Amino acid sequence: MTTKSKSSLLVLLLFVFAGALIYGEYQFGKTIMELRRSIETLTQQRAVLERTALEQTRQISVFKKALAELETYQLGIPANEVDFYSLVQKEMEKNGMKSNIIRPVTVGGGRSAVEINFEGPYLAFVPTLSDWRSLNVAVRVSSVTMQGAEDLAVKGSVILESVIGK
Amino acid sequence: MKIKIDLRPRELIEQKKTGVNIALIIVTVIFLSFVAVSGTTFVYGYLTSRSLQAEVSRLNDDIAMLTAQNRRLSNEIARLSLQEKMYGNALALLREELPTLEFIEAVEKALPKGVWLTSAVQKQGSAELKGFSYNENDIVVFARGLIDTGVVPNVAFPVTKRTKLNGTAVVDFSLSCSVGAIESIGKAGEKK
Repeated sequence: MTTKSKSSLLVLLLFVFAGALIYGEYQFGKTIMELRRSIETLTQQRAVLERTALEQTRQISVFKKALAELETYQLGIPANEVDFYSLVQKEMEKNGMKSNIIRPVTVGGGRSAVEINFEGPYLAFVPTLSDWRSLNVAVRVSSVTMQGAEDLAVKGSVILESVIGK
Repeated sequence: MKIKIDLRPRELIEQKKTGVNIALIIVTVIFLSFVAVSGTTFVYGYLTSRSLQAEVSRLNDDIAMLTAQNRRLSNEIARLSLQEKMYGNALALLREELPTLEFIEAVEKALPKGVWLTSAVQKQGSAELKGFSYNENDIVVFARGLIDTGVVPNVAFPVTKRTKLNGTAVVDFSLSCSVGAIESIGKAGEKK
């Protein structure tokens, strides 16, 4: 290879090297621009998520405060239908009232209700009503029908409502 | 075999050998400067892109973490909201408690001798009483007595019918009345 050819090859290699450098710079520039755009988008996304988290945390603290106030009422809620049935039946039995029929009835507003056909001494029915009211769970009497029977006894039906826990 | 013979004067040959090629130096300097600047830019670009990629990766991690945290918070809010709604319903339920005990007590207090009840129906805000008495005047006394207790704000016109019970003349009556809410009864009681 002559000196001239060597020089030509060297010049060519130098040109290729310079071209590679320029291409590399261009590629890096392009990548940097894309990454900066991505960072901008991601930063905005993160800011939105942080705001949402903050807002949700605030909501949770409001809910917890409200619930803490509600819990001061020490209000229990029957865990399920069976629990509700048990609470109601227990008070009747305690006072010597006889429940002929206990069946669920449909009421609106997310409540559960039972209708009880009862029979027993009048003087036992009134304490039963009182005991139902004194229960430390959310139970209310929504209607009472009483009819006189023999020997100061009464019979009739009562509808009790509650909010079930699940 | 080729032989090159330089026939120029000796002084000129010496000057040529020691002469400086300015153009070559300028080209070399420019090229080296170009290589230095480009190389620096290349390395800077590489390092910057690495650093930016690391930042993108960190941001993606942050976003994934925040998304998971927000999901957990949303679930917690849903749970607390349900609980709060349940407590709200329970309190509303208790506020609507039927004043059965108060009404029974009022009936017992107002019931004069000679009047007895055969049935009583109490619903939200109203009640209906059925029974017998020996005369109409006792029914009026009973109705007035009910109003005086403060539990019954109003008694409707009584429906009466003369009849015989076990051979005795009696009045079969029916009374419809309104019954106050448990809160208003409590307040009326406090005032008294």
